[in-house]
Amino acid sequence: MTTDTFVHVQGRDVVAADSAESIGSVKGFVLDGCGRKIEAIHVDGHGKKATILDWSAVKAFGADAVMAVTGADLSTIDNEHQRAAVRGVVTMLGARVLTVDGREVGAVTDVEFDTDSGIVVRVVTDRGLIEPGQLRSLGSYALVVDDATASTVP
Amino acid sequence: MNLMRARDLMGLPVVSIASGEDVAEVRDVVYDGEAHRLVGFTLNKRGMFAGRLKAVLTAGSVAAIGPDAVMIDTESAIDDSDGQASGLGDLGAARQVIGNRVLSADGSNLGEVVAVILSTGSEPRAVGYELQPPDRSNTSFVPISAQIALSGENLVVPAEATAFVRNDLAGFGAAVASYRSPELEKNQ
Repeated sequence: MTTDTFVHVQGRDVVAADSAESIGSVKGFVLDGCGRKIEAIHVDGHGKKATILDWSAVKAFGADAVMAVTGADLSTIDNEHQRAAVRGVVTMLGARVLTVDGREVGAVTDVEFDTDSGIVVRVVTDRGLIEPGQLRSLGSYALVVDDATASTVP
Repeated sequence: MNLMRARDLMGLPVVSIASGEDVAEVRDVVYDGEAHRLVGFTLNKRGMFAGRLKAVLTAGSVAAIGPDAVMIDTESAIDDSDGQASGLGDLGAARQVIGNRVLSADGSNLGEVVAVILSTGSEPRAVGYELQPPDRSNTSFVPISAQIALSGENLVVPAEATAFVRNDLAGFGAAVASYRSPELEKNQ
């Protein structure tokens, strides 16, 4: 399994594999409601409107470029969930981490993910690490996690 | 046992575990002084200058109370229909215990109630009162039991509870845990 991190891939080129054209760069991610899987990449493109690349249209998440199947796979956002992510309302980086018993345990500083599947492997916070099994939900207020006696104790 | 003063919950966000959204914040803690029971919470909308929500949150619908948030399983835990039915409409009950004089069973004045103390976690409930002694020295904490008598102006604490009075909240947590031994729980 090859992994990379949100901070590390920021600004990485997104290239259409069929035309070899650069279609933008990685700006952020749209995650599922639990924060366990990448649904789409927010691509900083050339137009005015925010564009995303669905994870299914990623041919390869390479070390130097993200290869999209075709440039036509780039799409505009079409629901509130995507809009919240693109506007930074719901975002993993910087998210407040809250346990299910109501304690704040730091903020997210980075996210490690599997570049093949887009599945989150580990969440890094300023207090320690969170395993994906602990993730309960990602919302505009917080990333809610199961209590982690092993890894997030200050 | 982790404890908090009831008033310190005011303003805390109410967060859904299912969505990670802050759906409301605590406006006031509703407390039934006669039964010494935490009833629930009235709510405000989130954000500055946001108004009161009609919906209420009963103590039984809370997933957990922590120092930084009141957690609920889903948004449906907040109930906008039965504020009256659950007793949450009756805010008068919340205040009648604050300011009451507390007497020991042998007739000495222990002080005046300045706060209701709640246990936090997944089954929050009222466990004690914070008292301001008559000489204005440091406050102390007395555990709640079914044997406490309340008249509207006086609380009379049974003799056996007097032994569990503590001067700090952390020490009081341990005292409450031992005071609420299984035998005593049965009597309540």
